[in-house]
This record gives sequence, C-alpha cells and structure tokens, in this order.
Amino acid sequence: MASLDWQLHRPAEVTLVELRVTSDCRERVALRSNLEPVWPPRRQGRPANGWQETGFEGVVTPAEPLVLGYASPAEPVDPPAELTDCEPVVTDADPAGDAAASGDTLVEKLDDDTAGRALVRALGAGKPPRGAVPKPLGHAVTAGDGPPAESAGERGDSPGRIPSDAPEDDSTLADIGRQRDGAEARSRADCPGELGEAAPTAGDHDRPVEGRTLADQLAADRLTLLELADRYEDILTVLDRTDEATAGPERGR
Amino acid sequence: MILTVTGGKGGVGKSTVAYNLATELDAVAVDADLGMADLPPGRGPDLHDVLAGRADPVEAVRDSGPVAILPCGRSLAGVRAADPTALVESVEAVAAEYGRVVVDAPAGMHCDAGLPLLVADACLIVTRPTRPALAGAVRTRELARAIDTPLAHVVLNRADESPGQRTDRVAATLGAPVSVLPDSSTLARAQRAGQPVSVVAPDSPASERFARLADTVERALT
Repeated sequence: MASLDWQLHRPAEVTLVELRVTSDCRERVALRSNLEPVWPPRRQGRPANGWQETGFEGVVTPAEPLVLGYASPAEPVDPPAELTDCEPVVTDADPAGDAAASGDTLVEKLDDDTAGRALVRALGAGKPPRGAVPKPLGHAVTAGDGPPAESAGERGDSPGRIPSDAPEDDSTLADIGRQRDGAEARSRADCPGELGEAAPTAGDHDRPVEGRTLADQLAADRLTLLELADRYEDILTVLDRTDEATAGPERGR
Repeated sequence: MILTVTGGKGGVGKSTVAYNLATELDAVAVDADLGMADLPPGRGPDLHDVLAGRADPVEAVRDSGPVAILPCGRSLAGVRAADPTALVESVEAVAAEYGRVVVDAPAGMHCDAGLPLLVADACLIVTRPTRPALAGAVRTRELARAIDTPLAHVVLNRADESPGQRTDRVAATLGAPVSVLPDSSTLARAQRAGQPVSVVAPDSPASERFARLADTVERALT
C-alpha cells in the first residue's frame, strides 16, 4: 500500500511542494493536489510526464519511490496533496507510465499523437532559442521567412483561395519605399556638400535599427523585396489556378 | 510506404540519397530537416507552414519537377513556429495521397530526428566510412530501435567499392544489408544543380546505382 510524505516551503509568493510516495509493491498511484492551480514541472515547455491539471499519475515500485515537486501560488495547506487512487500493477508492460523514462520502448503501444509528444519529451524539442531568431525589420516581412499564412490558405482550404493580405503588402511596400528614400538620402549625406540638405530628411523618414549600417539595411531591404516578389508570384500562381479551376473540369493531382 | 533516410551525422549524404531515391521510387521527397533544410526550396507554402497549421500538407507538395517534393522553409522563425509533432499526421496525409514518401531526416538525436523515424514504415541509414560517421550511424540505429522503426538498408556513401571486411562489419553492426555508393562528381554536380542524377546524367554509373538501390529497398519493404 502506497504512503505519502510531504514538505512545504513558501519562500516568496509561491508554495513549493515536495512529495514522496513509497510502496512495498508495484503500484499505479494518482495524486490530487489540494493547492490549486498546480504549476507542474515542465520539460521542453510541456508538463512533465504524468502531470495533469490537478495532480499526478504514475507508477511507484519498492525500489523506486516517486519523488515529485511542484509549485502553486495558493497558501500552504496540510496535507498539500492526497492519494486518490492506488492500483497494483501486475504486469511489467506499462508503456504509458514508464516508456519515456526508461527509453526502451519509447513509443510502443501508444497512438501517434501521444507517441509524438512522448518523443518530444524524451528527446528534446531541437528548436533554436527565441533569442536566435532575427527580429523583423520594422513592419516589413522577415527576410527569408516562409510565405505567410494567408498565401497558403487556411488548413483544408481549396487551392484556389485568394490570399487576403494585399493591404498589408501595400503598407509593406510603402514602408520599403520610405526606407529606400531614407537610405538614398543618407547616401547623399555621405557626399560632402550635400549634408545640410540630406540630414533632416534622413532623420524624418528613416530610423535606422540600432547598430545596423547602411549596407546591412540595403541588403535586408533587398532580401525583403525579393521575398515580396516571390509572394506576388505565388499570388499570380494561385490566380492562374483559380482561372483554370473555374474554366475547366477539376484536375487530378 | 514511408521510408525515412537518416544517419546521425550531418554531411554524410542523407539529402542526396533521399532526393535521388525518391526520384527512383517515384515518391514524394519530404525535407524534414526543419532547421537546416537541404532539398531544393520552392515557392509557396512549405513544411514550416504545414507544421504551424497554416497550410495543408498535400497542397504544399510541388509535383511539377522531376521529383515531387514537400520543401522546407529556411528561417529560424519558421522552425520556432512549427509544431514538430504535426510531422506525423502531415507525412501520413501525403502518403495517403501520393502512396510513397521518402523523408529526409535531420542529423542529431533530438525529436526532429526522432519524429521522422516514428512516422516511417522503415528507415535507411546513410553513413560514411569514417569513425565519427559510423558512430553516428550506430546511435541512430539505437534511436530507431527505441522507436521501433525497422532498418531496411544502409548506404555507405563515398566509400571505395572493394568488397571486404569493412562493409561486412558495418552490415553486422547495424544489422542490415549495405550498399556502397562511390564518390561521384556527376552526383555532386547534380545535387548542386538541385536535380536528381537520373535527370542530369541518366546513363551515369551513379544513376544506375540509385536505380539498383531503389530496387533493393523496394524489395525489402514489400
């Protein structure tokens, strides 16, 4: 029979709960927190294996007690959690509970969705850190970023759907126009004798991003323009396809 | 049929093999290297858009070229926005529409390398006859085992052809038949041009080898 032991700390405005579940046989246990909301430990941005909104479910064995920790903004109460369910596990096969931890049968017997998430937890997300992602240039589209949502249409839309982001593109073009004017003004400013004329214009029209040189700015603009050219090509392709689809019988893939 | 081309180390030729194998198998090549895509890019929605829920996987396939391809975006923002777990249903949707899919998996052991194995019916490991590449192949073999994806074949890329202990040892260690792919400037040229070698040089030895490899893989999977 499983038994529960706990410790509580409240260093600031958050209560930290430490739980220890021991048992003399292999048991599947469910714990419900008396403190709510539960802030479970996270791995790769997702609640760690076994954690739910109100508590935890997992397997405890005589050799391996369950040691758990979570946090909650609620005031401490005694006991902070209760065992709501204990059920002896008769077989060793317990893919949902132990799979990700043991790494052996990582995804066996799980449906695809659960398996995918178990894999992300077990192996890590492999995404670049947020800080590594270049910031967009003003309101312009991010250079090198894929085509936007609208050009692809909503999931499950017909291929002939016309993108709805034309106005945004216009403003992007206007933006780039202003940036280009600014850049030209600044390059004029580089020439002796024209400084007085150009400097105020540059200040009005273009606020260069901190640390960005003129060459960088122009290179970024060039990328943005190429990206826009690509997007307009895409729109034309979609329009062509719509024409074909409305003119003739539906094409097979 | 979903075949994932993987290998642990980067630069061993996974994309080259995936692209040419897809051509020979008349399959869709899915560029699942979310962070460092290699297969030719395309216009319109790509795999980043698909995994972010902004595009339908089947509609993102470009099938106008010599090989149908679901290209991958190149931006870090795209990688961050993508939900890697959506790869499973996306690749399955493409397989349901087109029948055959070859997934080009990224290097490494993170989930972006694991999920292409999870969706696959079988995998093919590409490696080189060097110590680090073979170590990577062994680790990937273990990962495939943990995910329960069978290994159909091994390609020893840019190796000399003399049969012998080395090929046998690789086959014994990884537990699958090995094909040797010798260094080929024709193949390198084709890959640089973003074309399958069977299009650039249909009668070249490299092209014949891929036809044979496709044959072997096909027989292993049926």
